[in-house]
Amino acid sequence: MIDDEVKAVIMAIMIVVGALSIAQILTSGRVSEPFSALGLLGPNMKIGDYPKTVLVNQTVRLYLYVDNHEGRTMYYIIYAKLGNKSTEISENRSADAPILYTYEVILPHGMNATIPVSLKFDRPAINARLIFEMWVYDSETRTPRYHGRWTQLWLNITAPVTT
Amino acid sequence: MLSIMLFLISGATCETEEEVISLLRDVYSKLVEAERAGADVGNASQQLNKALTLIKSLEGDPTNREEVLQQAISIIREVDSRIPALIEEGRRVTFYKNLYNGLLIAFIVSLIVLVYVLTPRIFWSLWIRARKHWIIKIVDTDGGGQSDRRRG
Repeated sequence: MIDDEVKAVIMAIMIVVGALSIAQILTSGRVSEPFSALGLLGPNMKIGDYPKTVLVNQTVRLYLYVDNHEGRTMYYIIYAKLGNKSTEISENRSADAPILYTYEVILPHGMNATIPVSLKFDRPAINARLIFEMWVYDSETRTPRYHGRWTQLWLNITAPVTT
Repeated sequence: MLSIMLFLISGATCETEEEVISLLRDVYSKLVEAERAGADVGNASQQLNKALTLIKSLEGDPTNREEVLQQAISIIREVDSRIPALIEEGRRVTFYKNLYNGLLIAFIVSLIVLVYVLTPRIFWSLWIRARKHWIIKIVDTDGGGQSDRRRG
């Protein structure tokens, strides 16, 4: 018959292959690293051509890109805020700035949405930060919760020249 | 009296955007529960997003407000009515998925045991089959002890 050593090697190979197969079965369909993405696109729906200077009451057209890879359906709320260079924002802390507009979208896992954004500013500002924050509606607490994703656009908002 | 009745009737049929959003969020919460139970809520959540888009469209264009709100409410209620069936379907799918996984794991374990037990037998039967036409001839009977590779 075959040596015991050979049988042990066969057994070891089979156990390794079997363990890998079982692990694959148990983890299939699960999202190992859930994440959400938030992006700001220019007026041509591309990364670029962002406006740098806008006039007061001029309509600024941009697009927000939202992507859901959380492994579950998400209710995203995007707040557009107008801050300045001293406005503090991080993954844990949302900006303490006035909310200009709110955008909401419900996305199943693996889906994305491109939301058209039309903004107007009612007063001039130099080095203004147009901040977009991603919040999610928490179905447990029934309140919106900051999701730690944000993006920004630096703007100079100037008053129209009067003649 | 008439004005009170008119007010009550208008209040019963004419919801505000905030009320409809609140209704939508309640249905979304139920949808999340259904998804946790294993339901496929992809289509239902897209319908809910359609209702949300309708409500948000009123911020830019409030014409036909009543009609748009009623359309959004009817979509939300339609999604709400489908949730129990989605949960039931999700539980059924989860049960069969778990059963399938269990059977697959049992099959893999059985395969390991079978390979361990049967490999020597299969190996030797193949070895013998490959050499069944061989004729064995003993060429050296005297000094065979040194070149004899048999054990024991």
